[in-house]
Amino acid sequence: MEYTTKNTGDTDEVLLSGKLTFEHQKMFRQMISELKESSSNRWVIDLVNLEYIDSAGLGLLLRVKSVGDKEGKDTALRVPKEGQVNQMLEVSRFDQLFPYA
Amino acid sequence: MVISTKTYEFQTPSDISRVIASILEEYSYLEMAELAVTEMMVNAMEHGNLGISYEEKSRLLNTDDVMNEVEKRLKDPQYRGRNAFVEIKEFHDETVILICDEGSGFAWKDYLDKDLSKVKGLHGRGISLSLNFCKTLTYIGNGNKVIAVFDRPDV
Repeated sequence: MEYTTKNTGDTDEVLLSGKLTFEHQKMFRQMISELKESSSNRWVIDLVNLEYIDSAGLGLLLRVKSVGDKEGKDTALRVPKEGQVNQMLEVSRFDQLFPYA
Repeated sequence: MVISTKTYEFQTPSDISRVIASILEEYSYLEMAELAVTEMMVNAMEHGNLGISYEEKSRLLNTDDVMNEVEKRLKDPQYRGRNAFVEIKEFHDETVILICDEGSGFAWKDYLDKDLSKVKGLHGRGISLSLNFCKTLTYIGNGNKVIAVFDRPDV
């Protein structure tokens, strides 16, 4: 997985690419630390270019939301319209757990 | 009649990545099996061989410490000698994948619901998701053996 962070004033957008799996817990922890240092009010996690996700990856996304809630940030996902990631989010009913941007 | 059988051994997270890459290289039609096989292998390592309970994993995820605990237990004499295996058997029209570990099993019957709408936590989706992405998924005995079946196209 790779991530790039873009600040657009009030919002931090994190663009994820590649695969988000059980192997990326440490990288995600680093990403969350960076987000916590920002003064923005909103975090958007962009999954449009993410190719693949497993259940651990879904858990990492929920971890961002949990930290965001504690930090008083609005968190949202930008989701792809098709592909494996879309299918995983649908089967997991993520629309009930996470606001979509 | 069995057309081919191959066995892979794994212990660590990097072993899992290496074995998955080897399987996908050798059996390109198993691309759709990647999710279920990975989920079963991670479960075999974390909950099977390394004995991390559901409750312990919940706590570790909330402090971002799962991988640290995995690395710690992989060096712990209580767990470090344990192996896990993936066996792939190809039949004419289906491929049967057995994943087994040397742990003491778990309450697998609690996780066999395909409907994920009730799962809200940071983990606990792996088996249900896998059920959605394979033909059948069957646990044996105490749960340290699981068999996933996939269609095998004419090749």
